[in-house]
Amino acid sequence: MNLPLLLPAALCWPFLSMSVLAACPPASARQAAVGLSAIGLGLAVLAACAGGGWAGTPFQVPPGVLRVLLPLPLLTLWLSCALAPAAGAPGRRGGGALTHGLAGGATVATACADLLSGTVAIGGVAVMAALAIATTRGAARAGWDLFRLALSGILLAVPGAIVLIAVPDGTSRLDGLGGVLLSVGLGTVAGLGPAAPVVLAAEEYAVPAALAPVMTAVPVLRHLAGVGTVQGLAQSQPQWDTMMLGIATIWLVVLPMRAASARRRNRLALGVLIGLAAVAAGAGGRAGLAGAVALLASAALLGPLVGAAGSASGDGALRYLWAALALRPPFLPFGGLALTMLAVCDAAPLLAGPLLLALVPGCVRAGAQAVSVPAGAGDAAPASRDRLAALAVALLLGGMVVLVAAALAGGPVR
Amino acid sequence: MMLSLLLGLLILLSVILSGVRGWPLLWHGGLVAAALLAAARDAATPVLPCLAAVGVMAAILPLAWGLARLEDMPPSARERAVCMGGGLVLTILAVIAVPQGMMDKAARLDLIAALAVILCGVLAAAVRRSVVGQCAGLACALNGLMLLAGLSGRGAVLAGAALLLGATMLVAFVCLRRLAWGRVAE
Repeated sequence: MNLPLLLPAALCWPFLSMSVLAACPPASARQAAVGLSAIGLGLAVLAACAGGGWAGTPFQVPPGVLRVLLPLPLLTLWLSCALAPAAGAPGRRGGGALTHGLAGGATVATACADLLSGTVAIGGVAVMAALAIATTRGAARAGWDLFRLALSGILLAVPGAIVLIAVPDGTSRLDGLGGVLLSVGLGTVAGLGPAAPVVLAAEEYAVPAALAPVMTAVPVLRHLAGVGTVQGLAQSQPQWDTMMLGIATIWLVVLPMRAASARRRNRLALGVLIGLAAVAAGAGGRAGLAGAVALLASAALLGPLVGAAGSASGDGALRYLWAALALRPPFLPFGGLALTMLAVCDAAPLLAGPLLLALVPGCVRAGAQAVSVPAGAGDAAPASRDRLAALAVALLLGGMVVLVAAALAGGPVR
Repeated sequence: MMLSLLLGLLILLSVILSGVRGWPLLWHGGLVAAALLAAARDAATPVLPCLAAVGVMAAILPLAWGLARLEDMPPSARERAVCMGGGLVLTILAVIAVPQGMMDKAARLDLIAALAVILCGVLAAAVRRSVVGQCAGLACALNGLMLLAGLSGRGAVLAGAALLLGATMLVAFVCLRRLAWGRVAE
């Protein structure tokens, strides 16, 4: 299948819908946002399935498993539009339009085949999110801190990318320097490593910023996972700096988790997912890539649920969210965790059988529980939200099964 | 010889100024203008870069003045020590990290200078408490990026870095005005 216009349409659509939303009357803004983001998601899925590139530009559908990452920001956008409360505050419209722009920027950055242009695009997304906070009332200081962080990260990552591209062979010390600069800079932008607390704390101010960690983490990990191919190394070569960034993120996020409130704990759990994805992307290999994709997909699905859980009364969405975030057997995060373990350990295939055996019964049991509990609640209002949450859980389950099967099908995992 | 002296001066001034109070912004603005003027001397049509240099100076002078008026928090001794000591250590690390013999001497010096300036600026932006100091650190790092872009002959990155410099100053100004208003309202 070769459709040359599909990728340009998918990349331009979020920006078009952003301008449409800005001009839309407030009464119909929510329906318009849901519909427009659904069309964008469909276009992105079609483009990811079709593959190929946009001639004359650096945009290309990512290779291999990584192509799943292309529609992820738009999936997050659609979920957050569908889960948003019906009657928005007057200040929400600008935030909604800006969220569309953020998702579009993240998609564009994911589609960049070139390291340098991808880095610049990621910087644009991060600076846009920071500006959204800086212009919120009462959050100027937080916005400035986020802006400073994002700009510092980009200032480190761009020289890293320039050095990596300029050095021809993949062996010298200069090459290592470029790699370290690149991963540290991009990690700072995406809230990995020491930047994690700042980025996760800044989410409480503005609507677009609540999704910013997911929107930046998807393109950043796509580029960090692809560094091995740029350097001309084998794909299975582990990237130690990316792994260390992920491990530092997990520690920094898990330590304050005990004393945090429930909502903040959900945010921190999102940080854990992204950190785990960084470890998997750094571990490399087929299982590592698949695990990173699975964990990022779960982060993209759960990010809007975290935002919606705080805005409404406790309901089915929160319960599903908690079940999914607890890294319990049936869900995609657990599948990603298992794949990460496979990628990190060398004794990978030996672990696969017992894991699958443990997965299936837990899957059935937790699925039955999750369906029976909200039916007893008898609440009329969140019915549509329950349906969406059920859809999200079904997607999680299906994605996990497909990813585990795909990683195990092709012979040796590493 | 002359080149190495100039680059050494650039590194030294960037390291020292990252720990001092008001001057770095003017210094970095002057560097941008000098870079643009140098580009004008090489280019076929010198009008546009000259105009850009004048524009940069016209934007930076009032902004630096306004920033200094809005928030005036002098750096503590600890910040100054961390900025200078860390800057020196980072410079030494950059010298070690860029290997000899892979490129000619001038390119190596340029690369070391650019890396040192970027690292010093990012360090200052991370360490300083006052927004003016952080802004100056970011401006310093942007200068390093411009040097690197000019070195590798990427005109688009150069223009983007100059644009980013303006954006940084504007965002800092907006944030600071809001902060100052908040303080007045309290």
